[in-house]
Amino acid sequence: MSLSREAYRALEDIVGPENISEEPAILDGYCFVWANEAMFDDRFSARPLAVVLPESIEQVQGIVRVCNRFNIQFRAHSSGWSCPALSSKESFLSIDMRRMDRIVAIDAKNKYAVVESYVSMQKLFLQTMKVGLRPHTIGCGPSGGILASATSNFGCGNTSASSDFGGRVPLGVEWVLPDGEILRLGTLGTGSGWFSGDGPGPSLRGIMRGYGGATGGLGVITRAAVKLTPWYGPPALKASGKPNIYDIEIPENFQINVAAFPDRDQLTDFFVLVVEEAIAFALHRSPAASLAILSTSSGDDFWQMVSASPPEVAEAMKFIGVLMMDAGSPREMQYRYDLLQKIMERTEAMNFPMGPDMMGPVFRNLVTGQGQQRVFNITTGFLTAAVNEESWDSVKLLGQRVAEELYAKYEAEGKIAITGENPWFAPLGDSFAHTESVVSYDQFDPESIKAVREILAEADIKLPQWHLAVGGAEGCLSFDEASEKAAAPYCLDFLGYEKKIKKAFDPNLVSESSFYVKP
Amino acid sequence: MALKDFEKDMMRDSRCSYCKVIPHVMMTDTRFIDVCPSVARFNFHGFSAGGRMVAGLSLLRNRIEYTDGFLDMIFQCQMDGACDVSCKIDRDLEPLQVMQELRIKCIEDGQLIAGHMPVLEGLRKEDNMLQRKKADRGKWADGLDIKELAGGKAEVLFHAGCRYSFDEELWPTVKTGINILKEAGVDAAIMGKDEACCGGRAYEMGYEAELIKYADHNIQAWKTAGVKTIVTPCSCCYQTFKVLYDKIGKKPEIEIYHFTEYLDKLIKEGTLKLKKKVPIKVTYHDPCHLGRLSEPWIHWSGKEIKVAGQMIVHDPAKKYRRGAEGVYDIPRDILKAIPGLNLVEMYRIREYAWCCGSGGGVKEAYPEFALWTAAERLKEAKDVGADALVSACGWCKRNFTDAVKETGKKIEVYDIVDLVQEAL
Repeated sequence: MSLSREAYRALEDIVGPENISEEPAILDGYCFVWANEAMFDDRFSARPLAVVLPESIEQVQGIVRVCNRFNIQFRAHSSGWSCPALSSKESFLSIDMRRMDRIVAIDAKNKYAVVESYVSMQKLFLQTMKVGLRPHTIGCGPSGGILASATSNFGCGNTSASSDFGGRVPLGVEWVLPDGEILRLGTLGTGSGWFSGDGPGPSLRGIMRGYGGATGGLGVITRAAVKLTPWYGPPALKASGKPNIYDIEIPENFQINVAAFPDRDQLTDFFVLVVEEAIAFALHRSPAASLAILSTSSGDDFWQMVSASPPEVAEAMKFIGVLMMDAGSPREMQYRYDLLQKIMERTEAMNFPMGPDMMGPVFRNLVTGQGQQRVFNITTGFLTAAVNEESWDSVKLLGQRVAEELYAKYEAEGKIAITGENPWFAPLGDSFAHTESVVSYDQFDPESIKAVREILAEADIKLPQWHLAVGGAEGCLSFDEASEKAAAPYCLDFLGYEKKIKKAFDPNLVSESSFYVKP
Repeated sequence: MALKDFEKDMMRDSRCSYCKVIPHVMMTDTRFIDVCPSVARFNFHGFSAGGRMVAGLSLLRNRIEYTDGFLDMIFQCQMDGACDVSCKIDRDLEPLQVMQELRIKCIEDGQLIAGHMPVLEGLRKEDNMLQRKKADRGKWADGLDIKELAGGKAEVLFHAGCRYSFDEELWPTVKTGINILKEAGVDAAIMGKDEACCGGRAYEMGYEAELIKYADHNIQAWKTAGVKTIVTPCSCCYQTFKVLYDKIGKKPEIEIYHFTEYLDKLIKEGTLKLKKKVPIKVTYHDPCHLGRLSEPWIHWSGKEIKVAGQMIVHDPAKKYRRGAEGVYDIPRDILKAIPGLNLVEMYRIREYAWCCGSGGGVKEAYPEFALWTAAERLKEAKDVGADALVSACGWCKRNFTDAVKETGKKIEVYDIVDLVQEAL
């Protein structure tokens, strides 16, 4: 499949010959992404028709209009680090937003930043920390696009307890709709600046992204204002030493606590209390092994550490919570510390001592998200088989049931890595929680890939049966509506409403929608 | 090794784009976070290490064929290795080795780059990368009182390298180098017209046979001459002798020094005294081949095994070159030892230094891109307020000097040896 010459010329006229390509070797870089093999039996999905690199909203609008004129499917992406950015069964025009990488403004007084599509979390954070602010972190790591996370694709991370999750982050938004019209949301829509997402002016955040995000299925967001949160750290991180485990100075007004709990109930209570008291900068549960992953330099070193660890240590650390607190003054830190002691006492928590060799990497990870990629060193592939956004009790339930009812069989057969109960979960703001149960597999082993595919399918069926929310791969709406269809009998007709939205906003159905809905 | 040996690395690329920028914890300024000149200039993902990993896999699987566009994508890259360091902040992959093997495969398959051909022809005929007569190689030392080996013996050999030997504008640097050695009482010799290319730059262009040929030739020549120590001002030669010869199983039993290492030794011993003030504000540019690429080679042979179901580990455990063990402090120590000199650092330094632009055959085949890359570095040097950019490699100095002429930027370009000379 290829573009007509007329369509190609029309696109080339908009972006210039240097910024469009049909070169197969280049296009293959736009259909290759982790986890493709679990959906397509191959590391490659359908090769794009072409890739274009716009540099302005006018160019994006021009591209979208050409797509409508020639009936070309398109999807835009920022960093491209996920299936919803790049993967599809059918070829489409890939819009790489890389040239739109400007931080338009930082309003320190009103605590928001205006960014273009390609601005990464790390780039924005680097700039905002100079004025004592920080963006919400993104689970996938520092290279992730801050705008994509806020407007288009879920968006939770280590600091969601304090900086909220993607859906609550966007304020004013500039949006090229699937038909090429430009829509400005919130105060931006009435020319009043970027400071509010809900008006005066159109308030369509629910339609733009809903909960999981339309993942490119509803046009292209070109600029957005995102909320910022106070940063009590220094204007720049102070790292020294050698790669890849740098020594990092933990600022005085930050404190990391890793606590082990006797059971799930106490762990859950701890999270509820910490969130209620609003003392967390970052808070999450992760398997104890994740601390080892962060503080060892390679997969081999990780295994040496883990295999040398007595089984009773692993058992003692089965239920752990990682909390980092920050404070604007020593007095505030003391207050938070005292509260934490009370909470730990009440939940029978045992403090897990960490040396500086572990503390630094954990701090780095909690602040920047750096380190998430290391999970790929363990088995080469992983997916979040069961994702859940629910109340704390359901989070507790999910981890256990997934381990026992989904993973145990495959672990016993040696088809996936033996990790046992391994949910990563974190509060999203102050009301509910996000859980991911990671399944780790070998990208080279067909049996392992088959197992993970079966687990994904089973998770789609079982999550609603367990009366838990819609899951799907990677914390967003899943490929070809698989999880939504499985959940539909248990829910209101949300899928029907999504399809209506899609039809209304995308009359020519050109905004590629594999990870959203099909009308 | 061959491209196929890295199939798993290519498969395991996650497309995280870490190879494009400095890791977050080491970033200092949003204007200077790019670490890869290639993707910074051409933007498509294929111009990054990650994109080239994908292209390598595509080629192995016959998904793509050789085209001009593909070759430009592979060869418009300085092979500077910054991507490799950034990738390895979290991953156990070998993107630079993949890119090297990809180039070797292209050449083996007869896919040659037009701009490289005259250089390679010159190398094969005249043993140098500058398309000059072999007979003229020692001319730079005319008038110097230096022993020229012609079947004779010497323990310390000063290897000028192709760039310094034939680039007249750089001759003062090597002449100074010789004078410093003499003043320090070092009984050094040169090979003059018998000096040959190291083979390193040809290797970066994908010509593996040339590296093997020159490794064999040079090691034999050094052995015959009884050489125990080599001192070279060229970072590329240094990296080739120290790292690449070892990589291909031809590690010479000789001490290899970059000239800065030797200078540092002489300064710290007190043999060389830097007395005169050099009141200038400079910034130091880490040459890729003296910095991250000069980390010693780590040999490994073993196998992957699975533990705990599908967890993959190596037997024996594998260690990775992550760019930490390059020569970073020594040039800075030398500069700090010069009275009156004010050293300011740029934003991308040490293992994350931005390339000068000339490596990997880019200067020869894609000169505009080479100059663009150098101009980006000059901007960075100006931004930190430096009046001069100092490097420790002839290839860097040449490309920066060309970029200054091209852009009209008001900044001096020095080799570190030139400043040491001023301070003596």
